[in-house]
Amino acid sequence: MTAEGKSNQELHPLANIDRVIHAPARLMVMTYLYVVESADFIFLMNLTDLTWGNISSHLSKLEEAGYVEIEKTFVNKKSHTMVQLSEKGRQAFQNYKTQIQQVLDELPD
Amino acid sequence: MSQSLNLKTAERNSFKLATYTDGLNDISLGIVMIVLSLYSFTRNLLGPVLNAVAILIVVLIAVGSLSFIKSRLVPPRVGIVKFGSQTKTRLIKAVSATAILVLAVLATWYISASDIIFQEPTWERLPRWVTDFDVDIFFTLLTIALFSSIAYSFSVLRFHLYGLLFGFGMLLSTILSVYRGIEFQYPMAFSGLVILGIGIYILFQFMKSYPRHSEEG
Repeated sequence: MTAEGKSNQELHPLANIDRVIHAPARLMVMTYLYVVESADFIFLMNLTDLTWGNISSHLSKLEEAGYVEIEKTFVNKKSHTMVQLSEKGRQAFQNYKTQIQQVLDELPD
Repeated sequence: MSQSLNLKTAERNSFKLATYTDGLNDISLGIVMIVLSLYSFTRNLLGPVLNAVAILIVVLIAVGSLSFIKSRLVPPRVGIVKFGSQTKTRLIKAVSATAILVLAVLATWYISASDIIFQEPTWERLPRWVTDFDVDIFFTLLTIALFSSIAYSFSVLRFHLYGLLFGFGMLLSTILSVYRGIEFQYPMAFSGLVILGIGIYILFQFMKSYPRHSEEG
């Protein structure tokens, strides 16, 4: 990293923001998962107003990052998917919250 | 962005969606109130013990049936959520704190109206029908306080109305029974019918707004 790049990192805390969480749809999903123990796809769809495909793709990205744990089960021969934040995801969300608050607090009025 | 990051709102929305969106709690409450309104009426027919047992059985059957319907109807439409113990504790604390605050206001009003502080209590200036029913008025206010605390804590505004309907339904029924000898609790039954009607309307809206989903898409 160049000296200019390092300087930018120090000056712009936004550069360190976790981009996996920062996307609005994923932020919504992470926020709702943060306040509950676990929820299924349908519950998350209703809360976030995202479509099935959207929520599925965002959850895949969060799963790849290790932020959520997805468990598929069968209830009455129908597949049923419960999602919950992993410990890593919970920690990442707390860090994100701290960082974004810091950025907003440092903005001039 | 700030809305997305408001964790309290997120928690409240989740709880509200899982608990109060389908109208079945409202229907349960309405049915229980209608059954309770029959209490003194059926007591003359069945006797006190049998009447209490019969009322209890009817209430249990009604609430049990609605719980069963809820378990079949709601998860395919709203989904399933599990709340952590911290959330449950926080929500219970929120309801308790609001109820305590409302009761503290009522206690302050009672003390200022009685002769505990003032030589000439304002309580004595109140009409006789108020002083005759002080215990009933207390329970009416207590009911309103509890319903209001739920309404405020979970942003379910209709529970303010339910508190008023339940509280005044009880009070007016007692007043009518004492002054007019009317055994059937018409005000309580009317309140129950209103709440039942609201619950049925919410249930229909719920069925329209939340279609069944399956994970196959």
